[in-house]
Amino acid sequence: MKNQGDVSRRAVLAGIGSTALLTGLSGRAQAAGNVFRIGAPNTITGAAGVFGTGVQNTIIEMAKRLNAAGGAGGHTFEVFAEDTQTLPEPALLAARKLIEVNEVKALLGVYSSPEALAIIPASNAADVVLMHTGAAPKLAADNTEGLGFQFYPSSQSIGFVLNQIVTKEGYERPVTLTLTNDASIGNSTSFHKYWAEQTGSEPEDIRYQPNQPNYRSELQQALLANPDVIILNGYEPDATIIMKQLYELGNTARVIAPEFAVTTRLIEALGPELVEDTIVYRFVPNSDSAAYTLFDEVYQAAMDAPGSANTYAAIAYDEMNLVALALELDPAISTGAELADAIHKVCGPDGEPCNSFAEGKELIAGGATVLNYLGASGPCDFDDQGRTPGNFGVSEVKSGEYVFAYGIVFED
Amino acid sequence: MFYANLAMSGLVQGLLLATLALSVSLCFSVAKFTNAATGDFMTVGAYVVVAIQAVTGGSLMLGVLGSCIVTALISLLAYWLLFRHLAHVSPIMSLVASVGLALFLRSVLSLFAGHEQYAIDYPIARAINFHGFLIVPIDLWVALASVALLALVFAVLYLTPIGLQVRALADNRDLARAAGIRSRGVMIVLWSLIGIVSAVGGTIIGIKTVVIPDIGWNLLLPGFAAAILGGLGNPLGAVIAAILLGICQELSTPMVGFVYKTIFSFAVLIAVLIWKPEGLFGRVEQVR
Repeated sequence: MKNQGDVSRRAVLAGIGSTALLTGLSGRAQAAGNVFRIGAPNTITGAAGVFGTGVQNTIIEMAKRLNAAGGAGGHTFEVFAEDTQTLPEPALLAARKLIEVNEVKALLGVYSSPEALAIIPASNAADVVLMHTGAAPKLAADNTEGLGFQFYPSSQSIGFVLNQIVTKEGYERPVTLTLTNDASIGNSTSFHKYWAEQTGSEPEDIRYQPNQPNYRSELQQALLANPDVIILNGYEPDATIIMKQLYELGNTARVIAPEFAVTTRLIEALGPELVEDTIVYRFVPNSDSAAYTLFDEVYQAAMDAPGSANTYAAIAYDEMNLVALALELDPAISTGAELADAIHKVCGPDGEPCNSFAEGKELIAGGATVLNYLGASGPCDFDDQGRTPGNFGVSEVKSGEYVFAYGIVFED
Repeated sequence: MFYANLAMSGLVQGLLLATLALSVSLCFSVAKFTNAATGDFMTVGAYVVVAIQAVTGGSLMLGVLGSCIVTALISLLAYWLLFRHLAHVSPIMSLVASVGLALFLRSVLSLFAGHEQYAIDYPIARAINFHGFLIVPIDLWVALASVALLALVFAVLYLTPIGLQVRALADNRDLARAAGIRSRGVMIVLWSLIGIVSAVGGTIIGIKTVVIPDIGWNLLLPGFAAAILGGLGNPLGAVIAAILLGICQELSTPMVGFVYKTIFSFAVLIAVLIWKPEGLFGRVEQVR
């Protein structure tokens, strides 16, 4: 099984090279027609570095392909790539540079809640569309200009899913271990809300800081509550340390964690015994769709790996298609607000269905004014706050492999 | 027993920081600057262990030995190519250069090893339970390795002729030179020691956590804090301060919570420095 975002150094270097190449080509294209500038501030390094290169290369590959096909609505695409280091401050600096120096009209592939929360005030002020995979509740509240599009299910839906898993498995004494960032706190808070509504009790919540070499005190406190299940809301590096130290301290409670925390690399590092029976939930892309097949081909070309290696790249693929379809629908777009409005028109559930930019272009040429783009990552149906629903898959780790158990659909 | 376990957690935390603080303090004692690349020397040490384990099929002992050699060589190279040329100008220049060296080392590691995490292979075992007091076997080994490392460093410093020269240079550079002590030989020993301490420290941190390009850098500030608290330039003080800070930090968690425990340890640092500006074990003339 290949890990999500498991990329080689060659792929990283290829990505850097192709960014420069595309910029050069676009420079020549600029003289021939309108250029639509896209910013790609992605997690090339840092905690989510395993995903960022695939996301960025997908955006670049899509821009190349769209340009080769004649562009969208008379526009060709120019991509400006930056590394956010998976940290909010560098992400904001990168976004500011992209907005103020490169004059991009949309920021694509922004990964985490802290990064998106840092960027959204700047993108709102500059009238720039922001497409991200953050989950923090504040992202919807901060989407005051309607320029934000949240492709990853919200913390509310993750809390719902966690409550469904705990209830379905019959656990009665959950404890949450929560990394101190907006998304993780949002996920735990949402779970606590659902759990309290259902049982009237409040589980113990232990919050921990990132980049600590030792979590023994935190885990000791968690184990004092005698939990029968531990919900871990964090990321791969801290999850690896915590899973190891939980085992060392004699934990027998089952652990529930997201797939970006309990990764195949974590399992390899700790060995199957330590991770056996861990429950892993993940955002499930629309892998049976025609769009996913097309994405898979793009990802193979960009990264020399199957699309299943990186769910976030499927999202980036959809982001590029939506921007292109919006420009095809309204070639006169000149502001971020107009772009956001057009994006809503090409992905609403009431439009004519299409699975790709090429299909959508044909429909628009045939007179369609509202489309329903069905993406590789999901239905891409955004509400007024820029949120889209998502489906989740729940797996169990058995002998070092994920074994799919059941799916959960969010119902508010 | 709850507080005993917290204290044990603090001891482990302190030992993890102790090697870093020791390395910082060793450098300051003779070279007279704060080496911001210390954390990244440790990161290099951890990566070398991972690489050697991958080649040899998992031998931790070979990994540590190889890491000591490679990291000591890199440390010597840093002295020879960089810090040697800055020895006669303001220590601030060496500090700035060490920040640049830190970034360079991290970038090279990122380029060749990527940003994915690696793990140092060791037998993970359940804690031994003594009536509720938990001792994790790997923590015992960490403690033993730390003590052995400290013994080695202090044996070199206090039981060998070259150690005497190191201490003489640290005490009074001009007087030591007037007595015929050649600083170059001392510096070679010093930077080799810094490399070895960093290699062992990197291995310990890699074992307890995961090996990523940022592991050393993430611990640099707490390591600096311990070195300052112990009295900059006092290796034994740095180690004791690291352990005290670790224990204070973990024992504070029932009062301040887990999120603010790091802040508490820095508050202790500030309070001690207001009371004793030279640090717990520093001498007044060292901070003039």
